Amino acid sequence: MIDALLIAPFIFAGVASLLLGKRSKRYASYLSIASALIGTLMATYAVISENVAAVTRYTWIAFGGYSINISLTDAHLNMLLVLLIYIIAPLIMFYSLGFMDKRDEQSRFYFEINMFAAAMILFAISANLLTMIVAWEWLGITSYLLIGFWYHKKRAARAARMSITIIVFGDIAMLAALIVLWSTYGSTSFTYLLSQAASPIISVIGILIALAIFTKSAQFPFMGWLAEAMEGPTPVSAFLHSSTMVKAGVFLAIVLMPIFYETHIINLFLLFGIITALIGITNAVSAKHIKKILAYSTMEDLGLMMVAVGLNSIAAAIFFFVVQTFYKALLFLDAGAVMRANGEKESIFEMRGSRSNRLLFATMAIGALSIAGIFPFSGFLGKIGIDAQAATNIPLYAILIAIDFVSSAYIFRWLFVPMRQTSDTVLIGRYKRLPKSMVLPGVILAVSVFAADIIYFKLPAYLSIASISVGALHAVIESVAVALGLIISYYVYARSHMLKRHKSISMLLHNQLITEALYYSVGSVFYKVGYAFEYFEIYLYRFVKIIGALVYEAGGQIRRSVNGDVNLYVAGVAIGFIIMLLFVVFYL
Amino acid sequence: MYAYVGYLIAALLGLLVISGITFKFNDRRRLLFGTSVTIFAAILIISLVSILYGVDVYLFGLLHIYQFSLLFVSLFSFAFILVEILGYGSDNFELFNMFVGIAAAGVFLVVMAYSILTIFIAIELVSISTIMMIMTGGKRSVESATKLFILSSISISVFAFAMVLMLPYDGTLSLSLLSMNSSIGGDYIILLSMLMFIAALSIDASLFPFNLWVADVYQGAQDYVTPMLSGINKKVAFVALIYILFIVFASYSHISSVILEVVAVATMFFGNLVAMVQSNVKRMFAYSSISQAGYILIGITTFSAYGLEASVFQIFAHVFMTIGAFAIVMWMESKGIRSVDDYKGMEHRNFWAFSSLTLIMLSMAGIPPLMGFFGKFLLFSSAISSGLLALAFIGIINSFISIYYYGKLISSMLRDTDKGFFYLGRNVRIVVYLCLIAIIAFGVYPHPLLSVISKSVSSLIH
Repeated sequence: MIDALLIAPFIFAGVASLLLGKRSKRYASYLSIASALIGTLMATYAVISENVAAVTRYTWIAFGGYSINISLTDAHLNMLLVLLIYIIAPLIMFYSLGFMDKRDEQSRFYFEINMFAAAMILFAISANLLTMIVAWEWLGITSYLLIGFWYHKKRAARAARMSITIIVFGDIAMLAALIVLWSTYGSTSFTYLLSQAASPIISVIGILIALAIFTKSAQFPFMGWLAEAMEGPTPVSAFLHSSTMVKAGVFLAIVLMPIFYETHIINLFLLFGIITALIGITNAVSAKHIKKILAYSTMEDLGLMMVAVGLNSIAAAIFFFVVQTFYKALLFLDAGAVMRANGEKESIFEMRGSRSNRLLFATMAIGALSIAGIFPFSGFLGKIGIDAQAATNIPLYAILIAIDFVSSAYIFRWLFVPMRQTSDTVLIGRYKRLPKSMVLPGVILAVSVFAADIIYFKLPAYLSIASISVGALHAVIESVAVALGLIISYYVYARSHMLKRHKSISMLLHNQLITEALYYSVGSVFYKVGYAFEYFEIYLYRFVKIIGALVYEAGGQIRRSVNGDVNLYVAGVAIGFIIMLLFVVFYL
Repeated sequence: MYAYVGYLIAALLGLLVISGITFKFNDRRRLLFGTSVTIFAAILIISLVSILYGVDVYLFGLLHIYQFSLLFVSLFSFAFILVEILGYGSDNFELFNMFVGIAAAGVFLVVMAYSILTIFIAIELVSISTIMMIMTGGKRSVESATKLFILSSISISVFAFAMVLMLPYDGTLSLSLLSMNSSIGGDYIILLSMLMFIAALSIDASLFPFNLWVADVYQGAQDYVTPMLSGINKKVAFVALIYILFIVFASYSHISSVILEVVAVATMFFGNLVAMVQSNVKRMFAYSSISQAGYILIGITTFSAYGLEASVFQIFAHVFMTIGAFAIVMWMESKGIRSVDDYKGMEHRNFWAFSSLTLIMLSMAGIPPLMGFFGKFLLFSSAISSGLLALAFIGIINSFISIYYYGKLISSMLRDTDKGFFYLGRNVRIVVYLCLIAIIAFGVYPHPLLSVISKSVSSLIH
């Protein structure tokens, strides 16, 4: 019963903020924070209470002998995701209190973000594919609205279009999976799907679902929208990249892992996960946009999660899933604060003096240390869990260690470059006067980054999965790689005279040379293929236009016959009746 | 056992008519309005409760009160409440209220009829009171009232002739399942009678080619009558058609099904194609409601329980959609906003009017998760499951065409304009909100309504 109630706070707050409209002032935000906190209590209760993984079914439509059900579950894994959403959501909404300070945007913002969160909750508690598709589409549409929130900016509108275009591929794949599943087995429930033995049909369904997962979780080759989505407001980016949206795909992959394992699709996850992680780090090293660096880092994280899924290690995947939520939300919120202090500049090289606000800088540092994977921070556990699973495969292990090294390097670049000294008193003043609501959520999240360590001890028992044993050797190797990244980053960026001395290094690091070139070469091949289709498309377009014109003309002709003359109307009745009569006479 | 429910409803109808007539002695509008709405609400509650208890009562041999009729009693009493709210602000509300009372009596009698004679009398009651209602609108409305009068009189005379042809075969004229099944199969006279029934009811149900009058009359009628014409009068004719085809001529369904298929296709194409080229928004919605009649007919042509369920669901959906849409459109018309170009910039001028009209149009076009989507989904899937694949396909093509003109209006409303805010009347707003709540609620969660409908349909088709 509680599972259906979990969605209520967001729906309530969303509808209420929409109805408040222009009158909403600050009420929409207070209401959203309050109802999200109530949701947090409910989710905590749901996690703590001894539930039995019951599935609740509600008949949605019963028609013609079929009944289509909405089914919800309160299994442990689902409740874990719900709790994560409900921990991040109030913080995001509290942050938005300071961030969204324009009055006329309040109502729309809180409506959209609450609806988005509601979609994610529905996704988290869905127990059959049909319910999940509803949530999946709902997520797609609300994320489109949120990414394009500042629709008057050309780039934001473009980014929103791009994300929805890519995501729609996955939606179609998902719908196809649903149709195949329904027409073969007549059931869409996950438990039923998981109980099936491997068969070609199951493989087809698995590949279709994997395709949908790749689009939502921004895996190669669908990763483009993730960085573009940074055009949305910062709280949205933080929400999208931590506990919602991109996590939907990973979560689905974790839930359906047995299916993917039996049909060997798991190897696809491994391969594409590594490719995505590599693309993510190469872009992150060269990107300059403060939020885009984090977006590429999310890409890397998602790739690593897919690697964990690909290695069939549910524990490693869930560990990383949970810890990434906290530090990524933290980093995004801090990035937004730094941008605000620097007058909404975007490039890290134009930013300075993040040390002026000690509290902000401390949380940024904690986030960076965690994402790099330094020992007591939770990111360490997450990364090492995945590394340890790959230890038997030496080349893979080497790649993962290299990824750890590079990610450490770019995240400290992200930390060190805006840290540079400034003598601009105005800038320092702006740092000091940052709204409390934009700094405090970071503090809570920084504490959570530490607190997330306990999941290492508590989580396996809660989810009844095998825990991971981490050897000391892996820990040492990982720490060395990360430390190396930190040192290099420090000498290159924190001591900026190094940059002036070595022009070639800075050229390489400041431009997205390699990856851009890769994109263009791949893109041009597709373009040439597309060119062949163009003629076909032109003729198709003409054909459609002719059909349309014909239909329109037909409508015009018929309209002219309806001219207001009542004699004609009576004649219509008579003619109609005579035709019916003749028909019956000849038909019999 | 539940006979008193029948008497109660009959008594309430009488009270309604009497309280309507008392306006000569009682000119307090609020009292008249309150009385009528209270009576409709009472009927609504009684019928909903009776559906749950499975009431099945025969009254005077003329009325049959059971789940199927009670379902429509509840729908139309809700629709009449909406119409009353719309008409409340008008100049001659007292007259309107009286005619609504008489028309409501007629509507409920058609729905609860147990005899073709009851249908005959009640339909006449509905038409005449509607014509009078339009007449009160002054010079502008006389033309459309006259047109409606001519077409209604043709309809009623054809209906009477059809009854006469039936008499030798079934002197009771009763709507019981046994009546026609025992008669001689394939007799031309009885077939002629059936055709005449279809033709007579097609005029009221606005099926092609009996529907050429629709746009003229809808355009000329007052802003509170058009929603009723499209939302109630047309649907009543559908209910009568369902009774006649499913009960009286059940054994001739193989012939009537073919005829209705052709009629459905023609109606859908006629409505959509003409709506496409209309620049006047009111006429556009009039033609769009014609095409919706074609969709409703799809379910009836299947002559199956599923098809009938789908049709009934779509009737419900269209009542809410059409009353909501016409409420807004007619208000705009009275403010001089007529053509698609006049709707330019509606989003800035009145956001609620824009978003409500957009939602209603999306529902009409069949976009999930709105009620119109489920109606069309059920209709097309019932057609497919009865083997009428081509009909379902034509229905889908027509949905495509309809998106063109709905989209044209929506995109026009989104354009920029320098005109200022305009006001939407309070009664219009209340009606539109009620309709929107129904459209969204039954679109997101149609199960409660569908289960009631399937229960009622199985009470009609045993």
